Amino acid sequence: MSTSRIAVIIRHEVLTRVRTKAFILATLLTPLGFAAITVLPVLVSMWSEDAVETKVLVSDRSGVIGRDLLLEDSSLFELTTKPEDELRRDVTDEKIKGFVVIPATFSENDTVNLYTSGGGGLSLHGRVKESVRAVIRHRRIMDAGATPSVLSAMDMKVAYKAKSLSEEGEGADAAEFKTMLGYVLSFIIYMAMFIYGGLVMRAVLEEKTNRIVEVLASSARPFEIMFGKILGVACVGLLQMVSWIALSMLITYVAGAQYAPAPGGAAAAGMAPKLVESIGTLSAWVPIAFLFYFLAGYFLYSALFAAVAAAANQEQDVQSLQLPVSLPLMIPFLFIGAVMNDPDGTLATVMSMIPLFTPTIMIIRVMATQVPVWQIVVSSVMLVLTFVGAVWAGGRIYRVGILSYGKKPSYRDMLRWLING
Amino acid sequence: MSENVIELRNVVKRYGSFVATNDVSMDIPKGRIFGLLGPNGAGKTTILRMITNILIPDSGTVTVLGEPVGSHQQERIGYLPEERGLYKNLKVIEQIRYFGELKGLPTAEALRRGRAWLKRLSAEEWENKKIRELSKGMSQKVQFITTVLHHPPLLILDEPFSGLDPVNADLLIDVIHELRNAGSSIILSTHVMEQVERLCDDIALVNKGRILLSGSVREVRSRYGRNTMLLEYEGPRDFVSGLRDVDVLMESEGRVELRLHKGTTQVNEVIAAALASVTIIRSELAEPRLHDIFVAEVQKDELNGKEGA
Repeated sequence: MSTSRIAVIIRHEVLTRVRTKAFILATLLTPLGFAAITVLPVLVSMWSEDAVETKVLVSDRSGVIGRDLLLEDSSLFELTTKPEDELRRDVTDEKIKGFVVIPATFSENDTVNLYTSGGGGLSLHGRVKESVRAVIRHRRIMDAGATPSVLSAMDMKVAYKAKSLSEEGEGADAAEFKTMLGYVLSFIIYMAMFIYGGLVMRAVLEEKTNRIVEVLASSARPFEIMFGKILGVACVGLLQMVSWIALSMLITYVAGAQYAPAPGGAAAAGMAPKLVESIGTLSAWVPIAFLFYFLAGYFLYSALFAAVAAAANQEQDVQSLQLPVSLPLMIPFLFIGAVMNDPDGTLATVMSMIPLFTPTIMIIRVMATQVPVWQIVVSSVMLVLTFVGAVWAGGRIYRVGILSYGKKPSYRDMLRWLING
Repeated sequence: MSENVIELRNVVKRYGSFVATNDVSMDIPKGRIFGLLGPNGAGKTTILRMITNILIPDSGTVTVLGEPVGSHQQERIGYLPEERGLYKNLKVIEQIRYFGELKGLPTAEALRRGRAWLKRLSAEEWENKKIRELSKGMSQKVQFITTVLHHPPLLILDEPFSGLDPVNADLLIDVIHELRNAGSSIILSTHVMEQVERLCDDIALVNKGRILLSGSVREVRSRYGRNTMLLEYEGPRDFVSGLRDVDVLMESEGRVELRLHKGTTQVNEVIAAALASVTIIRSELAEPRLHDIFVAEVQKDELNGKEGA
């Protein structure tokens, strides 16, 4: 194996990909798109909250609840004495947004009715319901003879904090945050295997359909061509990932500073210390584990994708031949909820030990729980062996496949290539 | 030190049940231009792929440049495959650089030689064009440059003239002669016999995975004897169909080319038959053309195959 030839192939793969418009656009626009998805809803909800310009009218038959409601949320409610018929007409004429009818008594059998012109959004319904519930509950408790001190005792906050104990001592438990982060990382690994594995697949197919591969095969060994391509695309993938992370952080930072004075920004700013605290609980092993599963998973699947493309004669062949590769790639996502709920359970443990699933499942377990060291070691060794095996097997199928044209090969043909080389 | 650049010994290659080369043995001498001839599907490309280490024979040995064939020799071989392939989105010079680097040239050297070759093939203005903008003949030239860039002592060209117009084909013939005179050994496959006669020192004729005949062009032709007769005449052509013990190789108005079954002894017989009805303008006894040898041998082989079956 010639390392200088592989280096030439890697450089070629990186340079020809990095300067394409598609790569530059994807690298720059994806974080913007991501920012748009995360920042826009906050902005929109900020605007839509301001947009409640007309209030909900309260037609109060009890004589007490209406006043309490006004005290509870004066920005939402307004008392009215208009008869109900007139209010109904106002709603249908869209003169008012809606009105609430408070019954004379508020026993269990009485119903509070909210009338709107339909719609009004979940947030309006939610706010009205919350306020009405709270006010009527309070009134019931007072009527049952409770004193204001009982009432305030009921409303008092209960402080609760989860802490995790480990050999390093006591620390803030951020299980929820870590599990979610594990899910995100798992998803990134999944996407990387699909996107960059697919990139390798299309590159191999292009060289085969354009008949470039025969010239290549007379200049380098098939294994060098395949491995150089896989490594080259890995460099491109890492470069793209790093750019995405850096750009996303930059955008979040800029956007955060921009909107900090606004109410939504303040809420986000309130979350920040908690997030910082949670990130502080992450061990230095997290980036290492991520990088390991990212690369191992990518190598494993891209070698398989390369073999599939080498066997295919055209794009259509790939569609059908790639199923045995893309299926095990997707299977873990059917079980991901179960794994997140019970990262120590049998299902999660078994799945994380199957090399084809290890990259996406083990990263969640590593994040969510204390995985026994032996499991990590055994699964990692099996994963490395599997990807070495996949690169070897992919290389053998590749070597025969790239020069075989004609009818679409069957899986049996590919198995024969694998055995006979 | 062997005088042969390539030696094949009992080489067999099968694709499933199809036998692509059947017990092929041949020597290709050093420093000459060797033509591998044969009809489509005869096994020419398979032989060339085994010499370039792309395919590995099922049995038998291939010796290239004095050593058993292996990937270490790839930098000393230049291979132009029959199916041309270039990256459509790369510029001409980038394409040349990449293949040069793969063959072990430093970047600057690959660029320098690439530009020199573009100039030699009067293609320097394409340097920064993308491959997809080139015509078939143009990309053919680029492909040829990528093949010879690293000055390989052994050059293998599979159908080098397909897609070239006569002017560029002549240019390529000149270049191949230059490379041979500079010391390279060249093997090419083709079925354009006219170019073989102008270009090749030695030939081998392959059919159905076997070698039908081989040797230097002169030797092969003389082996067939002077049994081809050319006759130009004035008068009706009817006498031609009356001739016995001849094959009509080519016939047009006032001109006929014959193969004489009985060789030179038959010449007077033919002339006598012709003189009975036409005036002879020119009569000539010639060596057979490679084309005719090729067609005759392949037909004979097909016939034997049918009788055997």
